[in-house]
Amino acid sequence: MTLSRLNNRENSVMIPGSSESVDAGNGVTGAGAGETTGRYVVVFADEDGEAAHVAALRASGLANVASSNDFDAQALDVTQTQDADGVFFSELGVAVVTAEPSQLSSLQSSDRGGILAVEPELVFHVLSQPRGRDYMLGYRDGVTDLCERLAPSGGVDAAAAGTTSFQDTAQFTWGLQATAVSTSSRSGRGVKLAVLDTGFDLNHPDFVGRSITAQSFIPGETPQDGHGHGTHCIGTSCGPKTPVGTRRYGIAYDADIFVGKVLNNQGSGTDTNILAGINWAVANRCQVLSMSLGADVRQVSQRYERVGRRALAAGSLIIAAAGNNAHRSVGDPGFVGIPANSQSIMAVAAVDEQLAVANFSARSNPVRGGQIDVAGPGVRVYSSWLMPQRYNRISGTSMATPHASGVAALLCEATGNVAGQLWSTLTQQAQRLPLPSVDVGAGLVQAPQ
Amino acid sequence: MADITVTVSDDHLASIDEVAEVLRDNGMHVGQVHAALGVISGSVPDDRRQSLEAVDGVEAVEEENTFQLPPPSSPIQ
Repeated sequence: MTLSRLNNRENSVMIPGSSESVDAGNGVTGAGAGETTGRYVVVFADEDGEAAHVAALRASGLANVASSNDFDAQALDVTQTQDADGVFFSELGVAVVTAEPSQLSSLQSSDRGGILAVEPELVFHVLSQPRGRDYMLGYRDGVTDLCERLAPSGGVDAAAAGTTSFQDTAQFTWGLQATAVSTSSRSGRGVKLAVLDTGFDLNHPDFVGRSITAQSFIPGETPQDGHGHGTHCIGTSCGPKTPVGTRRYGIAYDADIFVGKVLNNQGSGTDTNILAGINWAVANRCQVLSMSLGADVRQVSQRYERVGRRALAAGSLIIAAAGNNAHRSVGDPGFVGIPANSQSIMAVAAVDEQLAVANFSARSNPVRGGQIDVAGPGVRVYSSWLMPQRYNRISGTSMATPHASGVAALLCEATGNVAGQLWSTLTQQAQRLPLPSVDVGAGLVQAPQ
Repeated sequence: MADITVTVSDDHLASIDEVAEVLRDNGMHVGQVHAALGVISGSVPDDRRQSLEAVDGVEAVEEENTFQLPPPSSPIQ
């Protein structure tokens, strides 16, 4: 394998193939507090070995513990472990145990074997929407559109009118109104904004004439977006001031766009891809890096913590999605995952048109740095999409994140602040919301006027 | 063999290439050296991983994460 140096500004390198692993993070969501299995999950620190972990379990009275190391290729046979007190997954540093109350309290108070957490085992479901929801949303959008045609609101700020409910108008998306982008005099001129995602539809007519630097960090794929996610995020953060035939949906319409493709056309990427993209954006002196990606891992990753810190030292602010692993309607607030749970990386939550926390928007994670920093519009967000569809309306903390990064670009232009100072400016100027800070941090990002 | 990311400590950032050389001597297949960030990507046989953690200037050796978006048709992204 060859060595590639990535320290020069213009250097960019294709990444040698890296093994893809099956994702167990996004796509599943934890169920409510009531939906537990009765078993408990014990999470161990990485530093100690398996022997210490198993010893800690046995010290708490769980004598019969099976280990995934006992099976070929760690393909644990569940039927062979049914009678065990617990099963230890050595690669994960996690055990699932059946414990009596006395054993449970012994585990929770144990200082042996590096036990980080003892948590009820949750029942997991594949993420899906209730049947008929799409139809109802479509119906509602149709009614909203009809109202707008018959009695245009002309971009009146709903909050200023005494209600807290925004909606798309003929002129602006609801998100641009809620963040005061619609009245801002700033354009992001002179600011380099990198979106590390699935690439960009370089043929999109709304971006003709823009300054775009595109680089793929996915072996065998060009920067051209084959998914749509990246094109949607770039649309929100950097879309045009006056798109022809539709409302304005983009924020920093004069920023220099840096497209770093770190997720492939199937929406998958690894640390290798992502770190290469961050390195490229930092080396190119991008002031703002927007990362609408995450893995549902609670523990802070040292690499992203350090990388975020070093990016700040180089003048680059990394803004990341909090994650969509909440299911609040059934009592599960979720948690901020990697990389947004790093202290040196901003975490963005999603709010809806009533400025309520989105059902899927993850809550602050108790690890140091795992807090939500700010919120952005992230429900029914209208933005650019792959041609020929051209536009799409979707939800997610992935959509809230480019609202924050676009506003960061406007604030960077207006104040000259970068890195930690820009972070402070974003939070200082955010509109406080009457919601727990663990859900929305300092509040809704606000553009300079 | 595991794909890994090595985080280099602050006091060895300037000599990251030397750290990479020592990692290679200790059995790591070095893929990329990200000098701007102080991280090195690559892979290592399972039985050599511990020796990497002992290399001077190495702050952390962590296994690679995979990040996965929902399919384009998903209403929540």
